[in-house]
Amino acid sequence: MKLYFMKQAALDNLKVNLPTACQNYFTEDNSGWIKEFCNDEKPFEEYKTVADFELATEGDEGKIDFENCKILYQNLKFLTEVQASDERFWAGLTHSEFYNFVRVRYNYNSGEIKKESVASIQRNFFFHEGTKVGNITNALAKCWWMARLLYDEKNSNPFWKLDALGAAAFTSKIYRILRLSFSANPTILSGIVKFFAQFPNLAREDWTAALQHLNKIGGNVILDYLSEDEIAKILIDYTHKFTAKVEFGDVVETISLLDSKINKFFAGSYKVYTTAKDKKIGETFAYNGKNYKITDIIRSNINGGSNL
Amino acid sequence: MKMNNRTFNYPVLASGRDDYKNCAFEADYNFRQTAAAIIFNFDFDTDCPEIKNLIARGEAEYVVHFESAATIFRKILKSARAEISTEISLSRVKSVLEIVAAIVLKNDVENFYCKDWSEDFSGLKFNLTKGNVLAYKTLPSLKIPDNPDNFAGNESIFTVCRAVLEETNFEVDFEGEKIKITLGGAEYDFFVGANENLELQPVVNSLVILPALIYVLEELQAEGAVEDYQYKDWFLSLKHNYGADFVDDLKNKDLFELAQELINLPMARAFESLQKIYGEDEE
Repeated sequence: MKLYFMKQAALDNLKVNLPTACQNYFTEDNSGWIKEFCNDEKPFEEYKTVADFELATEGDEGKIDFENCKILYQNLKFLTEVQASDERFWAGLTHSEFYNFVRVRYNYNSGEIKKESVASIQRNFFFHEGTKVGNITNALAKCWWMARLLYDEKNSNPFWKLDALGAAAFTSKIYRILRLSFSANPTILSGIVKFFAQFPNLAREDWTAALQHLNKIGGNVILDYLSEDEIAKILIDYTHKFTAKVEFGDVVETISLLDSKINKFFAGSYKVYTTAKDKKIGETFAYNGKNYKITDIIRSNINGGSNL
Repeated sequence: MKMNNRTFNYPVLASGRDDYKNCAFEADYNFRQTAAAIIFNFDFDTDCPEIKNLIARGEAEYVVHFESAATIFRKILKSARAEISTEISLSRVKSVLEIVAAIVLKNDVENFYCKDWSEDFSGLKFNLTKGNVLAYKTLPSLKIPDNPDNFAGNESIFTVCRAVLEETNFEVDFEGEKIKITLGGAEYDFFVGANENLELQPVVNSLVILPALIYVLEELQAEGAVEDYQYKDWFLSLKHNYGADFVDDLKNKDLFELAQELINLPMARAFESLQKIYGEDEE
């Protein structure tokens, strides 16, 4: 497979004229139209030849992105960070070998042009809002970067950190984790992975809250100074503590919770943790042969915990 | 890492803050750029006895924090010494490299106080934790110009050719715009094959490119040679990549070391590659 980067002139031309060019992304299943759009000037420059590879297309969006982190990084590991933060490379790849992949992944093949389509195409095929954001939003660049930051070449499974992060809500994880500037530090990122490994089923709002808490701690502490375990502990402790705030009714005795970690934390407490989001105030329920009445719900929390 | 707008819940020694009355924290750096890296030297100084005491007791240390947002790069450098050096690869950073110097607590410290604190903190003591910033200085960011030839790495200043004459096995010619290396047929075939293997490239560079470059650098030491070749593309490229000191270092520096820097330390990378290949074979 030949890798091409897009010439700066072609890139500028396409981006400036994207409102006009936008239609082509929806209707054309190969990128041959770009040459014509660039007045027959050669829009690409050959960079190098690599072994052929294909991107994953099966599963939900998270699963596709998760698998493609591994595939892209495995095959493009030779890129330096400076090259990988160059819009011309990713614009080249999204407009040549993987043009149709990006179209299908983001439903341009079956969708209709909307008001936000130009921004969406700019985000997925190019770098939108500069290099820093472009690295984590371009359809292919974001996968390469996530894998690059989590790759452990010393491990027999160099993608074990990606595996620990898990495919669930992966697309959201990429964006929310990488937009925090401290994630650029591999030690901090490894601490975050450790946290996710401890709570594999944590709801999105809960890991988002934990990351926000870490960000807040970073106001007084240089997070880069802390170890992987110390970073993980901040996130884990917060999540435990956060869970403690959850009140689920006027429960008068300790209930054995299914999650042993949470159970330990709650020993002696009368508060209950649940994922039962359909419960309402005033409702009663039976648990372990006793009846409880819900008097208040602040919020339900972690998925996969006790099933009341 | 932006420090200036942060709100700390304890006194911090920094220019522009009035938590301390008279004490100061100074930090400065100089740098030089090689073909492959930026080499930094940092100096720190503080006249705050309480903070100096923490450093002396091993409870705090000097820290430099680097950040290049465009390449998702963050690095931290720690030292108890007031003078430290480090090197950052040019393949890791671009556009702007933000640099902050600080003094940071290595351990939790109880009842920290300083006689120089302003009235607001007078008589107070603070329990601080590992990672708390005691002092900081935002240093001038380093601008790293974007390289439009980012993907032109293959446009080498070297060109390798197959010898027409059977008896030739290694010749270097630098009269043209590129440094031309001529190899014997068998060596050339091996070079071409190995050069397509990413892991073998550093090994091949050490065997072929490095000695050729050392030879050229030796020739450049001859009187008048720099003037003769200074406008050749390969000379301009070497000078551009190395920096303004190229001609001076050509006269004063060990040529093996200079050649290594000019082509991104191929020996070290060759050994890394061989270790990797050897390790894989063993498994």
